[in-house]
Amino acid sequence: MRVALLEDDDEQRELLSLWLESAGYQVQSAPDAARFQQMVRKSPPDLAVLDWNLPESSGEEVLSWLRTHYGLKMPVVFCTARGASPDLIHALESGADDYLVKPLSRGEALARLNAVMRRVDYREAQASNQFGPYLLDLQRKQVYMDGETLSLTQREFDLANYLFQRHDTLVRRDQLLSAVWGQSAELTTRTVDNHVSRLRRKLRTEETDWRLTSVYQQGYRLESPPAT
Amino acid sequence: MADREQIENRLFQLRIQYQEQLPQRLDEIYSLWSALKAGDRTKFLQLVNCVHRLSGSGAAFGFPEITEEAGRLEQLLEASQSGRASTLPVAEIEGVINSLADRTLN
Repeated sequence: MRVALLEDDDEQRELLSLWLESAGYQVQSAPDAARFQQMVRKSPPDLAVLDWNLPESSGEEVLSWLRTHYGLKMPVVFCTARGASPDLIHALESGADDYLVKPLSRGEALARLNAVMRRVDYREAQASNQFGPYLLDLQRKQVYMDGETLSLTQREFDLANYLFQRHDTLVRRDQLLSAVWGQSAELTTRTVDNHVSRLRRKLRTEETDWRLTSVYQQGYRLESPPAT
Repeated sequence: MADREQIENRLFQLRIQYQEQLPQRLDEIYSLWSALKAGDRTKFLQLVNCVHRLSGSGAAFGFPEITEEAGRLEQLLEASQSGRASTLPVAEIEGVINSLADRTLN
């Protein structure tokens, strides 16, 4: 996990860099906004940590630059002085994800940054389960279509998940039986056909450009919309 | 990336380095304060920044008492009207500077 740190105070910059490195982060740091931007352009990090009060610019300007060039994907944590609550509110409202109050504490700084990264990992995991209008929530075992919950049984969810993860690939019936019902299941391929047919209706594929097609005597293929 | 032992060693050195620089920072505070007390209000912001850096760093380097005293000093300075001599609680400020010196030099 790569962190880009902007801190004008040499000692604090080194201190925070070392704390982060001790927790396994790869750190690149800069003492001013210009060098920070140059560094980030060259190698965009997974997380940015900014000092809010800088001598020649402000954390706000740098935050705005990051949001313009990298969107909301890159989490940004800023450091500010104790009791600077207008700064805190302003920075959070300007798009920062969290803050650290100076004097920094090693335990708290690492806990907060780890928490921010966990949220990002979760968001990314969620995003990776987005298939067009369909979102698969693996934790809740729910499928949403354009935000609407689709009412699926546990088995149907497992089947949907298996097919979405392999979309545009032919999946054999015996493969589905084994993966979704288990190796020992004494079931016929007819069971698979019935479930797929119900799943197709519940996914309301006719309302989307996705297709769950049968491949004669072989299996099924969940087809994503053709590229336009 | 350095290994864990190297990191901890460097953190230890950094703490020592910070501690060694404290008397110098205190001298700067004394000098700025003397000028401000004598009516040079151009030194006010410099003094506030100097004290602010100390209060925002002490505890991080293992000196919470520095953060505490410098924080008190910062509040006293900020409560005055940008260093106007008549609004400075001189005795109180000097008391805190002395207390900061005790903590810094011991």
